Amino acid sequence: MKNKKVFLGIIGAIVLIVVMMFTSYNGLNSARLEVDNAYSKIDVQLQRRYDLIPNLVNITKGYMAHEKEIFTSIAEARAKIASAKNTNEKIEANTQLDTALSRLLVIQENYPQLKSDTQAQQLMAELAGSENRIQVARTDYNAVVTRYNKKITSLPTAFFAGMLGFEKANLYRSSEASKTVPNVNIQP
Amino acid sequence: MFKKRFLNIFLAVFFACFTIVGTVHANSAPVSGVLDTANILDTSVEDYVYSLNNQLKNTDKQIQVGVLTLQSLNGRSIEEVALQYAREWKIGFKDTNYGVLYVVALQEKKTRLEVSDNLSTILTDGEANRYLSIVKEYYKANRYSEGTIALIKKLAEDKFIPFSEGKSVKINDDTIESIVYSSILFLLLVLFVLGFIGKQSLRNGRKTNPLLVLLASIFFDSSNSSKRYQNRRTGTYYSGDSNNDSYSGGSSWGGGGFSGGGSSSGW
Repeated sequence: MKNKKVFLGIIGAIVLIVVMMFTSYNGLNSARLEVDNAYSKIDVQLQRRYDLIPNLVNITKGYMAHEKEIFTSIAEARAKIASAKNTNEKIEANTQLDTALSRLLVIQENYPQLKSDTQAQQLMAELAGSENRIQVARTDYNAVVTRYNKKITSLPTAFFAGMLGFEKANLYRSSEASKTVPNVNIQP
Repeated sequence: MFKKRFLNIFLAVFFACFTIVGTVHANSAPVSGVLDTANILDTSVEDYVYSLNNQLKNTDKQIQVGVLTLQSLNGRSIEEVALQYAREWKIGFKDTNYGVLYVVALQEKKTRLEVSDNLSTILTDGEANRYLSIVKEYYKANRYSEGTIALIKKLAEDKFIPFSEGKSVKINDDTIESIVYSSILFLLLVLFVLGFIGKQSLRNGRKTNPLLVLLASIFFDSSNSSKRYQNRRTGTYYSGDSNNDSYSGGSSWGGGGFSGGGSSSGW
């Protein structure tokens, strides 16, 4: 009789653990999918900026002949992004591009002729928009990652997270230069 | 004794949790679509935005416009503030997500159009920046209402209305609801008339269809049931009528998809 009770108790405990594992897995899995989704949104915005650059460079180069250095570093960063073999290399190349482009956006203020070129200004506004979108995507990503990391480190999910193969996700740390969104003013 | 105390503590914590959840709430959208905290706009802006939103909501694109003025950004960037409000107000409709928020920061002399992802396909960042230059001359002369209306009018004429025009008027949930309600009302009326015929024929001692007798007893014999039906009909009538009203706050603001699109400028 007593043995039967113990047996039932053990079965009950096992069932409870299995149920908890299932629910933890589902919760963690949807949180990890959210992280992936947020990361892909950064990628989409980075790609949008990447595609914008050739037009922008072509049109501004003529006005800013003295700023060779900026255009070289933009071209270099863009080439690095294209040839990046892994995520880390890609992030690094994009950080370099962040810096170069934010300098371009600041310096363009010194070229009044550029300011009167409507097409150039439109492209500059597109670039500023792109920079802001990237910033927002990164902030959103970090919020989702923080939520996910909290989940895998808090009880009771923490018991199962490691066992089920859920690892801590890294926060996106952007360079200081890319944190400020440059403002573009058309017409003086 | 111990158990009871434990239960009390548990219940207290339980309800405290709900109270905390209840008090943390986001800013919700103003009914007119305009929140003028800097106090620089007159009612003409509210009237214009309100009527424009009403016009746009009957198209299948359902573009929605919001306006926000702030005395100061308090050290934050206008991009950050605009995104926060656009997301909290849920500008746009739930299924279409075409929304735009126009923000004015008085002290910093900055403006921004925050455009939702879907709307940015017809209003690009570069275009948004160009449109923002419309307000400059007005704002420099402190003519804020005129400038704001000029901007939104131009956006509506160039972008929102042409984009929405030529599309079939969307039969939204409200319309379907009103069709269902009017059908029920009509059915009730028919049954009522049949019941009345049954009642008359019973009174005259004629041979009557049992269904008519049943209807007559529902509508005329029991005073309670007849009252209940009338109440329901009145209720039906009013809820049907409210669809013809202009939109009323929260329910229409359910859009999203804001991720930093748009452009900032200044004057």
